[in-house]
Amino acid sequence: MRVWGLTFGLGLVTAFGLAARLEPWFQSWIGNRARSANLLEVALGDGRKLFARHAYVKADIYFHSGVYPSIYDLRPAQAHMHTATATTAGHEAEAEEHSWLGPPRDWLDRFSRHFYPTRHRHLGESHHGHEPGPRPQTGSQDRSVAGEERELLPWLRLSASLDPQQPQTYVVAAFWLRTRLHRVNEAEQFLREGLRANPGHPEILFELGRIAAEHRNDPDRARNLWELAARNWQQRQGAATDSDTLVYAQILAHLAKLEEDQKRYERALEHLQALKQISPNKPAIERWIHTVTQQLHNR
Amino acid sequence: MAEPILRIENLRVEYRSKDLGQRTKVAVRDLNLSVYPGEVVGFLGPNGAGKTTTMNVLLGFLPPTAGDAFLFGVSVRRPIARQRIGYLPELTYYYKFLTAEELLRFYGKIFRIPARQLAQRIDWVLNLVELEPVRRRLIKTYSKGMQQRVGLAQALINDPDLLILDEPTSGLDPIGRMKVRHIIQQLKRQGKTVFFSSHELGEVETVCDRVAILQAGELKAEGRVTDLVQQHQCANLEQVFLKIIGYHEPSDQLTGMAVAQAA
Amino acid sequence: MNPAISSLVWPWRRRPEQPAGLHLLTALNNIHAVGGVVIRELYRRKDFYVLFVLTALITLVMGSVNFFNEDRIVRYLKELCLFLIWVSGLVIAVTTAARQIPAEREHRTLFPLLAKPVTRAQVLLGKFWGCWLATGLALVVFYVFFGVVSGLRERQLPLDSYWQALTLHWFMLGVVCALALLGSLVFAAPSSTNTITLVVVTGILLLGRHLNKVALSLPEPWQTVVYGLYFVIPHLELFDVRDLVVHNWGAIPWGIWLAALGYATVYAALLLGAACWLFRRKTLN
Repeated sequence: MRVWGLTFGLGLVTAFGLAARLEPWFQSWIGNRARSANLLEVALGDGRKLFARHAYVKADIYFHSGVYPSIYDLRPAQAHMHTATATTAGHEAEAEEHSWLGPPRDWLDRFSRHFYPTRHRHLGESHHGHEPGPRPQTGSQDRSVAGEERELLPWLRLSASLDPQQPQTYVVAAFWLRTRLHRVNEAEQFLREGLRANPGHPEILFELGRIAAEHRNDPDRARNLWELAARNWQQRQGAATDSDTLVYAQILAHLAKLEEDQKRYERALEHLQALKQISPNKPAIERWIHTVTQQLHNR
Repeated sequence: MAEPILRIENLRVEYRSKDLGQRTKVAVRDLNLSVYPGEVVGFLGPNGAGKTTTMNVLLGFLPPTAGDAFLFGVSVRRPIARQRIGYLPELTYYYKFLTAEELLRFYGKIFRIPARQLAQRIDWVLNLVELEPVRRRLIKTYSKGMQQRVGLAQALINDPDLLILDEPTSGLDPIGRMKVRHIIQQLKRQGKTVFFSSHELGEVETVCDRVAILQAGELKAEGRVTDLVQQHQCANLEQVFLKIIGYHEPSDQLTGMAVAQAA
Repeated sequence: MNPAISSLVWPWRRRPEQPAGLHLLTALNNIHAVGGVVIRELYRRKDFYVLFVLTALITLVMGSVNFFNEDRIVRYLKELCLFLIWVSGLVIAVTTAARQIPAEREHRTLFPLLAKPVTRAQVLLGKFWGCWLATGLALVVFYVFFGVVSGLRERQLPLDSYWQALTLHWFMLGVVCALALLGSLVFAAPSSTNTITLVVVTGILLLGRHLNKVALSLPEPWQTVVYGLYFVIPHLELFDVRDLVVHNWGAIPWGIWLAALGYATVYAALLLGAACWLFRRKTLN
């Protein structure tokens, strides 16, 4: 017994001694890899981006309550995800866009459609009695389903953890957190986390500005954030895509609105002129410019 | 004379063996044998003689190539033929995750023994095979001898009229063999019929009324032990057996070789 | 013999000769008896307990994660729990069914069993019955756990949906048990049967619904072949109503539910018929 104990003790001492001896050497060797203390990064490597993408798609699936095309149903139109813009897009147009199922191809196909979700629906929409939907609370006549958007959050959180370099994840989550779930602090905290991972990203700055303007009642802060976002966007202009241009348009529109509300019409007009260059709806922008110009003259 | 409980008629069993290049091996060759009520019949033969094959046919494990066998007048191809028999296999393996009691209850259910009678029957057989103290222990904890006794218990659970035992004392110590012998004699006194194969010729000589000796699938001899001993002018059943299967002592061969070399 | 017993009537010994075919009640009795042994084996092995504890542990750990201070997020938890239940159910069904006949042959427990007045078909059906019942019992435990977890979070309990999910899952596993039993008679080793059955079942679950779309994109004669395969395979994905449960879509019409159960019964019967046919021809040694 004593021999076993002594041997065990000797083994422990040897192990700790080795660890103490090798640790500095390991630190010097690990170099840049020491930055990735994230378990997921180490475990999955670059494959985590694939999983992050899958988690993001999962959030979209949840947004549509499980109604989603498979890779066998994919058409180009369905490649666009709209979890953040569901409130702006026309529901009917979207429903048509999502009629990817088509009529049943055979009796088995028709029969199988009873066993998985097939009707177009968004989280947070009310339901009527004849449509499938969540059960109302016991004893309650209220069929409102406000707050259902919370179900997206775990997947967005997971996607951000797996691939922090996707700003869209932070923007979408923050949108739902602040607009539907009334968790402004959490939204802001998450956006800041995204900003640390994606320094100076225009979209994240824009969302932070919206929080400042709409929830903190801090127009100066909002202006600063939006102007920074606009500058950063211009610096990145070489790699702009259509959706990035849309973001820039939104930044300019919000800046213009803010300046108009603050009665700084000259600044508003500057932003509107810049907006007119990139907006697809030039007549609407011109009418806005005309309105602001009149307000400037009437001051 | 009473109808035989067990009747084998022109039984032939052939195997097609890949090892033999798809040639046919005859395991049992035109066997005719009858066992009458109340008899204890020993089924003897060297290894590979066809004893287990014959038993497999009787129990429905193997279809005969030709001929047939009958239990209580019912063809062995029908499961109902096995309603009144008990079988103890040579290698006793039972569900290790069951207790002895559970195993017997399971088999009793198959025989559709009513619950109350089944409980009494289980108590009786467990006492008979001296496994009452360990009836609720899992079979995987049993020794070889205890597993053999469980085998005997399950063979007796339905109070069978015919017991088919395949080397019942195989692997047992002298005390175990004595107990099995004692049980067979007890069953004989109760009027049961026992048909068993064994290599323990001393025991066979003690308990059997008749023996049948098989070699290479053929029935070489059949009859009462005393008649066979007298007929072949041998001292005991073992010598009769060796004479019938044509076995010679190794010492004779060595002596013969030494003499030949010296010459 | 004990004199007290000998004086009793032993009806099974004095029973008149049975008719040529085995009485249906006798057959059902034998099947039920064999099934009982399978159930006893399942709860004396560790598989079920390990899987349940793993499922419960993973679900409870994931349920304790804080997402933006929202304590009523439930769908991801339901999806995770149901996924684990499905994996566990498949593992239990396939491993239990795949080892039945090979284990009986390997351990030679088949011989004392077949020496009783029971046919090979009854043994096989009894094994199926036991595997299926055992799987069902396991599923009940899993689904009760699921119901408790989701009910506590969601503060509602759509019992009709959960009941449909449980029964559809159970009948699907009946088809899987039958498939695994058939496989155990075709393949030598239980490990082969396990692997092949799991691959086939997973393939059907993932691709079964889409085979017709794949077929339409193929040239002839492959289109006909794949479309034929689409109609022939058992569509196990029909019984996967997890999305309906997770996203609170409500119960499916009861007529459709019944039709699905009938569909599973037919396929299980076909597979068991094939298994019985094979088992009758198999040499036992």
